[in-house]
Amino acid sequence: MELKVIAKESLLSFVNRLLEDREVVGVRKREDGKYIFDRLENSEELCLNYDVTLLPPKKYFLPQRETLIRFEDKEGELSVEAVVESSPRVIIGVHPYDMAAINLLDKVFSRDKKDANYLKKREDTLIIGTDVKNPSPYAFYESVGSDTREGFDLFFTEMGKSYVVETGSQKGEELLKYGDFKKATAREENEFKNIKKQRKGLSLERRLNFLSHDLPHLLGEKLEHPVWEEKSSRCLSCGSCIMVCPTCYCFDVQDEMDMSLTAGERFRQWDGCLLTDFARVATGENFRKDIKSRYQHRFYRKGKYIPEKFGMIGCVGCGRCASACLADIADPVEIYNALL
Amino acid sequence: MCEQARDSLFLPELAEIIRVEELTATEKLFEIRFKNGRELGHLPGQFVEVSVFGIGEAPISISSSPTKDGSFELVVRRVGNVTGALHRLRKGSIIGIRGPFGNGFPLTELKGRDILFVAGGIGLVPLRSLINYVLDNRGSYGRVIILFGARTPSERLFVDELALWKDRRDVEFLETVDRAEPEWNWKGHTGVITTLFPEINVDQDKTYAVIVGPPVMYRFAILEAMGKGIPGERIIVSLERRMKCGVGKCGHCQIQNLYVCQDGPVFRYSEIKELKEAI
Repeated sequence: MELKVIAKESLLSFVNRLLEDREVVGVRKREDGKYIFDRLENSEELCLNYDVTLLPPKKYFLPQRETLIRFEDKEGELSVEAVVESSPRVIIGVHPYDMAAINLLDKVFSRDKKDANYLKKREDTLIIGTDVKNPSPYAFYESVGSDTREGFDLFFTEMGKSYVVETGSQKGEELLKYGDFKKATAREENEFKNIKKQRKGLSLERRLNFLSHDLPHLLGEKLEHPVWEEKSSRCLSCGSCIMVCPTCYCFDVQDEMDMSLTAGERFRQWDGCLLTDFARVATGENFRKDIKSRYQHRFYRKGKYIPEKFGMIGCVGCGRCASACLADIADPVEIYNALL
Repeated sequence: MCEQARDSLFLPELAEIIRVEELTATEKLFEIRFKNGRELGHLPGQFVEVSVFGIGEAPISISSSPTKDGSFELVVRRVGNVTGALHRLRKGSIIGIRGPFGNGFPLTELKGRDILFVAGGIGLVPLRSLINYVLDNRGSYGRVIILFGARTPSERLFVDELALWKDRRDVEFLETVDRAEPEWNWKGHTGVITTLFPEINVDQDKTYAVIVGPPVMYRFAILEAMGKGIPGERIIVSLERRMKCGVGKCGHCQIQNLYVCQDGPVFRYSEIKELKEAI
C-alpha cells in the first residue's frame, strides 16, 4: 500500500477524532518519568518518543484480571454464563518488539482451542505502531529478530516535522479518513528509506552472540551448564520478570463470591512459572520445587519450547525483565550468551 | 487475523450428582449426569474439570468406563478447596463440568495385546476406566493381569470390584498393602507394589504395562516392568499435574515442552524418560 505522511501538528487532531468514537490507548509519561500504556483523555497526553513502557500492551488482550464466567443461584436454580468482555479500541505507539509479542500471543490463543476472551479483544483492537528512536539500555530486540512491521494496522515513523505512515491492514486503511494523511512525495519516500537505514541497528549494542534461530538447539545441549546454578541461586522467586514480560501468558483461575453469597464470578489473573507454587498439586507434590528448575523452565520456555511449538522465539528483546529484576539475574542476553 | 470462535473455553456445563458413595475415609465416588442428558463421550484415561461454583475448579480423572451409559463416575480424594467442597455435596447437587480433556489410553494399540495393569493407591481411579473397558470387551484382549497396591487395607478403593476381578478366571489379580493395621486382620500380601512383580510372568513380546500411581511409585514400577523385558514404548503411564485451563493455555501442567492436559495425561515411558521433572 502507498506511503502516507502526516504532519506532527495534525497528529493531535487525528487522535482527537479517534477519541470521539472509541477508546484510545496511548503511551503516556508518568510524573516519575516512566512511560506507560494508558487510556488517553486527550491527544496531548500521547508520547510517541519513548524508550520502553513499564508494562507491555499485552494487558489490553490478557488483562491482569479478567472475568471468565458468572454464576448465580436463584432460589435453588443455578445458572452460569460465559463472559467475554471487549470493546472497540485503538492502541497508539506500540513498538515493534511488543507487536512481535502480540503476534506470538495470537498464535498461542488461536492454536487448537480458540480462546474467545483473548481473540475478541484482539479483533476489536487496532494497533498503530511507531519505531524506536531511543532504545532502552536493556533492549536487544533486533538481535532476536523482533524488529517487525507485521501485525500493525498502521505504522508511524518519525521523519523531521512529520510521520511517514505505512498501512498494514484494511482496518488500518479505514483509519486514515480520521486525519490529514497525504500521499508521500517521491522525495519523502527517498528520505524515508534513508531514515529506516539510519535507525537500523540502534539496539544492537546488546545482542546474542549467535543467531536466535540456533537458540533451541543450544539450550538442548546446555541443561547442565553452571550458569543456571550461578544465576538462579540469587533469584528471589518474586516474579517481577514475569509480570513485565510481553510474552508471558500463564494464568491462574479462581472463583469469587459477591456479598450476597448467591452469585459470583470466575476470573483469570496473571501467574508465572517462577512463583513457588506454580507446579504444586493439591496432594502437596511440587514438580518444580527448587528455584533452579523454575528459573531454567522460564528460559527454556522462551528459548526452546515456544520456538519449537510456535515457530518464533519467545523472547522479543524488550529488556523489561532485566530492568525489573531485583537481583539483577534476569537478563536473557547475559544468560544465553554465557551458554555459548 | 485469526479465525474466531465465539464459544468460551471456560463455560462449564451443568451436571447433577445422582449418587455419592463413600469409598474410604478420604475418597468419595460421585456418579454424575449432565442436566441436558448428553453423554460425556470420553475415552478411558481422560479427565474433566469439575466446578463447585464459588469455590473453584479442579481436574479430576474419569473413573467409569465409556461402556457405561447415561452417567459417569469421578472419584475424589479430599485434599484441597475444591475437593473439600465436593465432599460436602450430596445427591441432587449441581456442579459444572468441562471436558473431557486429554488424550486417553491408546485403545486401538492395546487391542489383542496382553495387558499388565499396575495401580498404586488412587492410581486405580483412572485405571479402573480402562480395566472395566477391557473387561467389557474381554474377547478383544489377551491376558489381563492386575497388580494393585494400597498403603493400608482401609485405603483400598472399589473393594467390591476388586473382589469381582479376583474371582474372574480370565483375570490374574494380585494385590498388596504396604502395611496392615492389626484390627483389619489382613491375610493378604504385605509389601510395596514392586514386591508383586516376582510373582508374575509376562510374554515380553506382546505385553503392555499400564502403570498409574503416585509420583514415587513410577520410578520403581517402571524399572520392574522393564525388568520383565517390556520396552519403554509399551510402558504407559498417566501423570498428574496442576492444571487450570485444561486446554493448553494456562501453562501450569507443562513438563518441559509437553502440556500434560493435551499431550497427556497418558504418556509412553519412552516419550518422557529423557525429560527431567517428568517421572
